[in-house]
Amino acid sequence: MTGSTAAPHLTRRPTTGRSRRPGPGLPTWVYVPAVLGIVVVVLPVVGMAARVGWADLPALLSSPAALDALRLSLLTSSASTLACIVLGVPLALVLARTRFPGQGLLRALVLLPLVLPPVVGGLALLATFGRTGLLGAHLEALGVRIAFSTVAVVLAQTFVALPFLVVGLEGALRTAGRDHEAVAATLGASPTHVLARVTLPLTLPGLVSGAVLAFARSLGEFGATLTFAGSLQGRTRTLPLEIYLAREADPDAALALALLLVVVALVVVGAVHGRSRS
Amino acid sequence: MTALAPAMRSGRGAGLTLTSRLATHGVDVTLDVPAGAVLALLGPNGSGKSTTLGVAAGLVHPDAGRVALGEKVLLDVGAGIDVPPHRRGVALLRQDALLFPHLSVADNVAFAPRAAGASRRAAAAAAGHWLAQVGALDLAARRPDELSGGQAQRVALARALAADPHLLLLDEPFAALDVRSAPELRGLVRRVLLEAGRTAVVVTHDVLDVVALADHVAVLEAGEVVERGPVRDVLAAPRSAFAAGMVGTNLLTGTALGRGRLALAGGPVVVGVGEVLAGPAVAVCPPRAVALYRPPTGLAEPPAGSPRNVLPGAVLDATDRAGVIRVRVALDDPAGGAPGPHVIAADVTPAAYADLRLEPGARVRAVVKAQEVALHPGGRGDDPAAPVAPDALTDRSGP
Repeated sequence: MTGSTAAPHLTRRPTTGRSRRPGPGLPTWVYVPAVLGIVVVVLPVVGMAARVGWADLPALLSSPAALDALRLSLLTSSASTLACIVLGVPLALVLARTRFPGQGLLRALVLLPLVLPPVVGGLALLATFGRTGLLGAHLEALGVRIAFSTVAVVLAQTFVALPFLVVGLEGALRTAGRDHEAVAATLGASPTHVLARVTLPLTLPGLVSGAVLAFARSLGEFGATLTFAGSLQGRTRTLPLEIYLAREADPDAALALALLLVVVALVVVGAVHGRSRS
Repeated sequence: MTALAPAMRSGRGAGLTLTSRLATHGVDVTLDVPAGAVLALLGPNGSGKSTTLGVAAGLVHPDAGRVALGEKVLLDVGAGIDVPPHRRGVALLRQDALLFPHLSVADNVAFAPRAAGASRRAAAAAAGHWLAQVGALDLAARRPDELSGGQAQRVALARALAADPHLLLLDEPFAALDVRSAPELRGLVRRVLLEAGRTAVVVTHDVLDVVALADHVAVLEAGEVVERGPVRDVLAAPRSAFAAGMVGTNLLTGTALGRGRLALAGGPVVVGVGEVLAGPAVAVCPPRAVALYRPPTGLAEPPAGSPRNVLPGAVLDATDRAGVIRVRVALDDPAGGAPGPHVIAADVTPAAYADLRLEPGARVRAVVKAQEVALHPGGRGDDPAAPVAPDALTDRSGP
């Protein structure tokens, strides 16, 4: 009568996907396109690094315009990542843990920024928050002006980066934690306590990787920012905009800044990923 | 050891009354468990046992129904009452320990006190207390993935008890454990339930769980209660096909004397194997392990041989079970000489049945090797003379 129950000696542990699973090997030819794929990604970065004038690098990177852009990029990307967490975690929870009519449509809408060209996103934001926009006109009357400000940069970055966090976390929520949440509730934990002490800790890897992707996407944001926030040094001109502007006036500076952007992105992604996997 | 009847045991348990109807699951169940009593919920897979526990815990919401624990109404669909799980005081222990993988063993057990607002220090003290109660204090610093299945379930039990529940729900709590861990944990749960007089519902497929833990039995089939009653009544004469199939073995309840001996009240002493030192216990042996001897008239001495159990009695009845004859024998009360309350069943071949002329009333000796008799702690001590033996249902072969 107990035929349905397997007898695991050790409690099951959430698989992290790190385990090397034994099995039939891959066909050898698969390695050829796989290596080509890596080359496609890495080669341009190598090519860029080869063109950088390493001797002039310190001077190029310490110009006021470069430092302003770097500072602004780090500030706005951090702010938009935070905004993505504050808004995206509840959104992912609602999508993963509840059921209501129109949920499929809502999920599709959340993904919209992923498929929209960033320039279109910028235009949409401008039409909404610009001086004469849907909300912007009312905000203008209250003396609040968002477009072409640092807030606009953060808003544009949040718009494009939010889906990365929501999708990553929702996947983690769907696969982990439900049984543990039920047990926690029967142990007297309120829904808030369950969320803080069970759900979020169990899905932390999904949250961290979603936040890292959101940060990286914010750091590289260009089209929506330029359209909605403009390019004012120190206020809205982030590193990608600075690189684009410098490209014509001073190609060497552009390459140096580009290298800086790559390094910053690698450091952030590497640091967080390295920690979350330990 | 004093054996307390359910009504005499005091504790923090409150009586459970539950009615629940779920159209989607085809479940329509009514149960009640007196305060401090333990109900065993039996039934085939998919009969609605776990769903019913879910309704009691507040994790499943029925279409109609009412759940009350003592005076407190937890659910009344008609009146719009539905107390959320965390305010019910109903703890659930499942087959899978489901320890929180990101917390240490001690923090797992401290979870409920912390959720109830206890200080870190008070919660840690409570965790230490309950880990000691289940004999797992040495595991306190471990992570859940460093525990064996038996250890994890021990910790899960401590974690559930630390919530100080009014009602404890056990959903096949030993089903995932190996043959060594299961009896250990069953003994532990038995002690915990008896000591504190907790109200509990145990879902199980194992007759030993029923005997060791429960006062009452309810059998679910296809979402409905088809049989209910005190453990000894249901096991002695199961009416449902499921309970009858479960009780396909001899269960003799009595008091352990130590050294593998069990005294049946109003019956003989049975010798078996198993570590039961004292207290209510049960001897289990399959009917095919029981041989019947017809003593030659005028010979008082039992047949000489190696089997340790030679139990005189009289044939009650016999039924044909697909080519094997199951003969039930009422064992003599050594004090009175007349047939006592205990019944043992033996499976014999039709030829042997004919040769020995085992018609009802025939004097026989039931002979069992001690090796074939397993002793377990069990019986809730209500009546050690409870006769429990496989019933000879003629409709057994039916669906």
